[in-house]
Amino acid sequence: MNMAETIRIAWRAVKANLLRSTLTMLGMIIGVAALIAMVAVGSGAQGQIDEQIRSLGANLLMIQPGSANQGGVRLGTGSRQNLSEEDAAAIASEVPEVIVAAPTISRATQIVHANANWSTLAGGITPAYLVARDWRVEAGRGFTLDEVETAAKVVLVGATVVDNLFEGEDPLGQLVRIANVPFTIVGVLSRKGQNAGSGRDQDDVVLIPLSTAKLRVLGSNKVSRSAVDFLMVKVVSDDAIVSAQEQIRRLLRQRHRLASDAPDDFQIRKPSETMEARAAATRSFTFLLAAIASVSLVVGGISIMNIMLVSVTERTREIGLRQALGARRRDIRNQFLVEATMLCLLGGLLGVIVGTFVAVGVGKLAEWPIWVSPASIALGFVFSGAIGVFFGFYPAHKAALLDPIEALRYE
Amino acid sequence: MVPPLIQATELRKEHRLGDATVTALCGVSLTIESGEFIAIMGPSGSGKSTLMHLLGLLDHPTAGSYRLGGRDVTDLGADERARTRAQKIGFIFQAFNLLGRSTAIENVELAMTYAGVPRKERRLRAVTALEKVSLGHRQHHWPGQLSGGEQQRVAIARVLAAGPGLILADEPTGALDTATGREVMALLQDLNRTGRTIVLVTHDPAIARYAKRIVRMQDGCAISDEAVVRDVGSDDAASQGLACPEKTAP
Repeated sequence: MNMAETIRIAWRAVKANLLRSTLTMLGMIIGVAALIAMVAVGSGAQGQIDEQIRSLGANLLMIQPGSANQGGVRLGTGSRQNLSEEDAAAIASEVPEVIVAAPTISRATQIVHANANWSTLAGGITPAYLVARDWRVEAGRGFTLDEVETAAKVVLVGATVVDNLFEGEDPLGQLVRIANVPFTIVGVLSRKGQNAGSGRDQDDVVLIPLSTAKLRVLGSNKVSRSAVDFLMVKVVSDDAIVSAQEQIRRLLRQRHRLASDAPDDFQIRKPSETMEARAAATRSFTFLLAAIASVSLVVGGISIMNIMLVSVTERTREIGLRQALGARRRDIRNQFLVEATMLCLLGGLLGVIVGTFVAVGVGKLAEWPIWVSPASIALGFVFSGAIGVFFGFYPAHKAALLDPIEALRYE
Repeated sequence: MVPPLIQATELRKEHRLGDATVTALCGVSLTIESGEFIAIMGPSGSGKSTLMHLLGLLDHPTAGSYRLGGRDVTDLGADERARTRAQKIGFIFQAFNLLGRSTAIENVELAMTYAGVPRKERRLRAVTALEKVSLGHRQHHWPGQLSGGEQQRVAIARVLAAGPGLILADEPTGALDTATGREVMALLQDLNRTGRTIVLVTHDPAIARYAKRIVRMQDGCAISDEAVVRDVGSDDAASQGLACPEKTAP
């Protein structure tokens, strides 16, 4: 007998015992629903972290100067001023994995518009900075190279600054004063939200050309005109980070003329590191949730095996009759195997639907990010099918081994 | 020469019950030609059901040989026996053995499913068969909605549609009243007239008289094998005998 025929027979049996079929499927429904819902919560959290990592700028390295030493007092990372615009240019041109290297300085500053004022962070940047941080200019425009070269008094403002200085007013083209220097707002930055690592509001910032910052606002450096606070380096891909990091290190040591036994006078950090650790933790958590849900799936499978065993006993005469009519052992086995698998797959299907609803509901109620991934749906399906075959086999095998005469006589 | 449909030689069946061995069949030899209508009679425990199970390939003998349609089927494997049952043998049971959750027509189609008849043809043959047993109007009834006689007629339609050459009927009237039993037997006679070989197992002499030949069994052995002698209009005589067995007893 072919598979289509077997499936038809199994379907008829499932339909004929609708209540019992539904009760049998309940275990699978709950198991798959739990799997879908839990994985949705887990992947939602993971997606949120990934989003935060992306908001930092993907594949980003930050290079800071090392510690300065003033009369035996070590002033900590960033206190030296030995990174320069030339370092940035060298990194960008000599390390092939590097897309851009952005020299940057930043200071806390007061910004004034009309009779409002606000304390914020001012960054002196080149256009490369926006590329490195994947930061879009939402309204207006970014800096032109010309503006950077001529130290133009133009500024890009973050969303938080806009909120605090301009209540509903269009900030574009407005004048603000930073450290008493008048600037024209040429662009508004897109919102990035809170930095998940430090908790700092990334939108509480104004960006001005690096040259302007040095010449007019933040004051030029005592050691070198081209010194900067840090470099933001964007690497082509995550895989290239380690290699890029090593090459940058060698390049900078060479440029800073460090003796081979001297320690680095700079520090290369990966800002997304802590968040990646969190992402890994969330991933393990998602796996854990999926594992717990899988336990309920296995329990569901066992209940299907129970019911199928009862069903085989109950239908002994039917099996005997089918054998008398010419069913081979494998026809009987397939019939019950397909029936069990069908119950599991139907349970799986309903479970996917229920699970999706539960996940969305929980997400709404608890305001959690939820993501029902196609992978989890596929996993739920494949898993329930596999459970049907696995737990359906023993009852089916038992049915196939029945002696036709005994089975026909069975009361 | 056409070989006999059934050629059983010294069929022996023993059952193990713990240490003891019970002989259910002591070595029965039986030749049945195609087109015969034979009754196997005997009290319960005489081995008639065992013999029928062996003839129906539901079981294999402890010793002896069995040729069905000229082919030695004594030692066929389970799958081959199932295939042979599906194609060559039809069963009619005392308890009808219909699937309670399938309609009459689905029950009729069932045997053909295992014989590998395509779906459309199955439906067609099932309808025809049900009409032949005058149940054309009951196609979509559940067995529970049918009377005993109707259920047995569905079972007969099941055999009829599958079209096997050999029909094994195990006490087909055992669960029916005499009038209904008579209808069922008449149907079996019809089947026999269209060329099908019928082996009827019964303990009821009146039922056995519908057959053309009666084999009597006792304690696992065949003790007699004789043709039924009938008067003119013997069918009527037989049916009257069914209704009032004592009147026609010689």
